[in-house]
Amino acid sequence: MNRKKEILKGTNWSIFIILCISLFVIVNYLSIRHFKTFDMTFSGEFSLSEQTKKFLKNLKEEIEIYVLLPVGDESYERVERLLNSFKSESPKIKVEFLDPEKDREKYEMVLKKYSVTTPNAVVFANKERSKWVEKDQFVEYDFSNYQFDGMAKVKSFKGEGSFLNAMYEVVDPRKPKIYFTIGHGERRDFEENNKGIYLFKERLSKEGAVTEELQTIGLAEIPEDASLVIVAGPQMPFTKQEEEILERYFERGGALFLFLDPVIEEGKEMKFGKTGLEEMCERFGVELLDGLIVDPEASLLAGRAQTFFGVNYSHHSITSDLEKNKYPILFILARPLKVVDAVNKDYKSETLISTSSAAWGETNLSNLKDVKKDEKDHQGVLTLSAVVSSKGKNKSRMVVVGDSDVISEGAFLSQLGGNSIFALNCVHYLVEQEERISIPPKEVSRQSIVLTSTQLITNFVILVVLFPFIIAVFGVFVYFVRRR
Amino acid sequence: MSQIYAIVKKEMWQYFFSPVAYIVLSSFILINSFVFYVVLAAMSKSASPPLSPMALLFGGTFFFWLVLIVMIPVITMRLGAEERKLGTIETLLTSPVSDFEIVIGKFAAAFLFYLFAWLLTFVYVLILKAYGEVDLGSVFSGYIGVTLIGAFFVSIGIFATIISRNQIVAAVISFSIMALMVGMTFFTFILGSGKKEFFQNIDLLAMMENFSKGIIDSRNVIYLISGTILFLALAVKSLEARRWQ
Repeated sequence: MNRKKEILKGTNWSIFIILCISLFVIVNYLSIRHFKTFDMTFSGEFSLSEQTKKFLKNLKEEIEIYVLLPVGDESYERVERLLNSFKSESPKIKVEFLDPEKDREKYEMVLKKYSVTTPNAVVFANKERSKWVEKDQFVEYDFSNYQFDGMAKVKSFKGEGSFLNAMYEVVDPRKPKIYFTIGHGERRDFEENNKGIYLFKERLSKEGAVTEELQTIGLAEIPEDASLVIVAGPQMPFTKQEEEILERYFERGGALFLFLDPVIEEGKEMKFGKTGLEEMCERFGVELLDGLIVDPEASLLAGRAQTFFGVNYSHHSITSDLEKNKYPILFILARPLKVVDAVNKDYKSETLISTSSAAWGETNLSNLKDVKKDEKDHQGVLTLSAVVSSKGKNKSRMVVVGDSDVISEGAFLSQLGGNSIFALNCVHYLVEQEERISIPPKEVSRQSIVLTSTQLITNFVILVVLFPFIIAVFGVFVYFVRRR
Repeated sequence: MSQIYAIVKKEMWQYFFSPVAYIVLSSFILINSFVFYVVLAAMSKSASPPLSPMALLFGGTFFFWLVLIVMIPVITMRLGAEERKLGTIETLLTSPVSDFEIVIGKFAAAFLFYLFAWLLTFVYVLILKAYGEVDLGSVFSGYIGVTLIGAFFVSIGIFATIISRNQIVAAVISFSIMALMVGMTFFTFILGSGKKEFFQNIDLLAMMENFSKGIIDSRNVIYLISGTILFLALAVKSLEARRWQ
């Protein structure tokens, strides 16, 4: 009888344990398959932007992601966390981390299959399409202490933006064709004093665009395959015929990105020249004023107020992230613009960026070393950039910026970050890829607390000596109370 | 509910009237204060790498885990084993209190004592706030992590003490289980991508790292809560078996 009871008890126990463990396994299996992550930081350091969430939510095709990084890599943890957030938003995201040592076979297979030419990269694949993002594109380093400790610190993490763009590319393989006009002294790829625009073109190529130069003189029409035409700082005027073909292209639904610096004709007396695009711009609601913007309230260097930051943004998808993150855009010798009513009522123009109210547009070129505001000058607030869009069925879009320094190599290399984000946001808007609007990089948080040696000693005494001592005294007190 | 409350009250009195509790508390504060001080001193050096003192305190160092897997067995070891040794378990089992209420009452008492110890560390947050900015969101998330890991480990301790006759054996059993759980992280380092996935999902170090940085992952929360429930259920069943012996 006792034996029977023992067996029954044992069976009961076994069933109970199996049931408990099974339930534990099932619950956790389901939670691993359908999970959510919540960012509790006040700065939103680990939160995804709305556009990433939207993309992942609407994702219909599976994207395979291979992370080709060694486990100890300084960006590994960030990449892992970001991809975890992607996975939590969409079950279509499949991630595999491949260590070059531990997963050598598969690691090399992926390198070969997707023609990856760098050892540290993240590969995105969807069916036959693939795109890899190398480490430099998602991590930005700070070399300021390099000469002292030989170490570069991770300054910011740009993973969300670059990974999102890579995913867009493997899901939507359209490659916008972008033409850069030439023949009017426009900025070229490489110029002295970091004035070239090769970095801008390089960023466009990395984001999937195909760039090409376009000689507009003698051209009957802008090529049909043009997604966007960029005019980067002409120093000589466009002919009437060239203006007309640009206008026709725009009116049939084209996109124009115009960087129109003030043109200064040097002769016996310096005077403002023409770009040849003044009439076209005015017809669509943007007047090009002659002048050089001086903004003492937003200037970078005291006494050189022609170099200044544009920080007053209007509410527009191009500038919303810049405004949110307070990213400034650097302008050097910019031309003032004026938003006016478009001749053709099918078009609407609006200001994108403007100066402070202290700014003015200097019209006197005779004494540029000592500029002063006077009645003849254009009075602030001045428009630095304007956007034109069609109210009708055609999808014509135009952005006019009064300074081509915005896309220069120097501006792209600056630590400010606003110029590249603004330029790329404009391109995405113009080629109707608003969903790709650049996501600003996230600074790696560094809590800095520096205590003096006296403060450190005080804290040592309070925390390490007094705090546990007080608790121990309580213990001794309790011991004696109990003994009594 | 009133039975649970009565058990919690009794156990809490026993904790705070025992010098062992004060030894545990002062050791806990001594180690954590020392770690916090070392981090503060390191941060004050000019060439210091980016450090977050509270993130290091919440699972970022070896000391966190050492304190946890030593402190919790000490808190829980006497809860069941001592009652059996003193023979008071029979009185408890014959009283009109269910096994569930006994286990939950003892669990709640040990857990509250554990939380009390962590509450004292809030002093560090106040110190940090006095010297600079603190992201209270990630501090809050760190405390959630400490609470959930604590609940999980206390439930292991309760299970161990109920199945053991001797306090030392109970402490050794709970210490071993906890050390094994923490040690699972080792496999995530040595295994390749395909094989380590299982261990990544139960990696307590990675879970605590998430919490300390301000990320609450539903997988981690569910694992820790379900683990707590699993060990408490096993403890109830063990007590029930003891009743029929």
